[in-house]
Amino acid sequence: MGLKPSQYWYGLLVLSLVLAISGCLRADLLHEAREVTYPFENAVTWARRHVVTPVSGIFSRADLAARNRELTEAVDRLRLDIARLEAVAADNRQLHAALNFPPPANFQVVTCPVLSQGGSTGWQRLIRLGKGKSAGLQAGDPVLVADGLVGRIENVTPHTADVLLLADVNSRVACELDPPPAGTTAVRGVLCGSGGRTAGEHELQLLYVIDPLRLRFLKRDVEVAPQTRVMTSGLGGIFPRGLKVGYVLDSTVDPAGLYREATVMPAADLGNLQIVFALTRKPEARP
Amino acid sequence: MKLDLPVMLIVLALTAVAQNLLPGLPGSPLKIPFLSGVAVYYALNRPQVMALVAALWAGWLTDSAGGLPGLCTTSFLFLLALLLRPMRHILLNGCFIGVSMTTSGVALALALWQLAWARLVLPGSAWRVAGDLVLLLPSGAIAGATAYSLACTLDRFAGNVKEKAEG
Repeated sequence: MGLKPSQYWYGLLVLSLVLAISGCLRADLLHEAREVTYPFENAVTWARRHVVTPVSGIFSRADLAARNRELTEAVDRLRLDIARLEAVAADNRQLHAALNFPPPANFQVVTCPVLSQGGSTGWQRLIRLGKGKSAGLQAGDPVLVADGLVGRIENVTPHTADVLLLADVNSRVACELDPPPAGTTAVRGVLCGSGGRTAGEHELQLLYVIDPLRLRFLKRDVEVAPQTRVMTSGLGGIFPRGLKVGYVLDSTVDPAGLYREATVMPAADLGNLQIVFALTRKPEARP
Repeated sequence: MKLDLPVMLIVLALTAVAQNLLPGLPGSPLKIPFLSGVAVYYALNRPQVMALVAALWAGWLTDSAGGLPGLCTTSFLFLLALLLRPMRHILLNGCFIGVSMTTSGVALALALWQLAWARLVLPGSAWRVAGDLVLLLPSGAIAGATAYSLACTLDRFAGNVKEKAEG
């Protein structure tokens, strides 16, 4: 005897409740649910990169094609080729940058496409990568582009990874000034995120106008010159030493007069990330 | 045979992908809550047991992809599915406008719930966040309208619901 539809739905409800409660108890089980939408997100990202971009390249130049009506067919074909080549050239440039980027000792580079930004709510400044545990990524791995540090991996599933960006208010990175101001050997501080705003552009991606980051707990008496480079100090244990993070804009002594705080512009364009590089520890260097 | 479950799965998958990939309204970092729109559609238009299942799955997907603790959105949408049912008649019997307006309010309430439950640090000053929350009202209306259009069309196409008579 088969189940009645109502019995079937009540069974499904109980199963869903059990899953929801176990997701609460086990964070990894909750994150695994991302795998449900991963294939769709991956397909859309692929289509955007390989179909929408070349096709919109043609339509954006439609007025020119109209003026050259007699050559439309030939010109369109050439433009399609150009648009395809532009996408390939951009990829090529980024991959070249990756090849020239020497990973720190004990680390290897994994190239990852960016699937989406902001998660499902937008409360946190995070990006989702199209690679996960199966590519060797682990929670805590630093993520960067050729210009500088982007953030760190917060959690991973077999095929996706969420990266907490430097701009998120919860982000903390141990940093130091490079070069250290005259008369000092090292000036270190903690870089804190301060959120970010969408620019309101009508693009199918988030374009952040990043608020400057805050480098806190610097020595009070040190004068920090604008445009001084900020690098990771390696003291936090998560990021290796010597990764470029950003540049100092200005600095002030905090209201309590205990330490100095500098505003820092991130070196990487955190609002327009398409391909990033995760630094994963080599198996022999893992604890 | 009714195709309630396949329709629900398709609607949830499509709206989850849209919510993850599409940006929020211009000027706001907060995403358009399509999944909440689906939960509201089911709460107002389909049997309660289906509404509860849809609410659990919509909440699960939101929490999972949004980096929120388990049960945060799930519990809110589950309670919502229980509470909205008796209020169907006040909420225009779950018509297009009813779902849009309800989702608009639900989006704002859910954002406050998430802030409180997950103890999120405010991304900016309180005024900025207040502005973002206000923008959730039109954002929720868009989500409700989209979820209603998609789910209702698929439900009718699959023969799960009959078209309401005119007048």
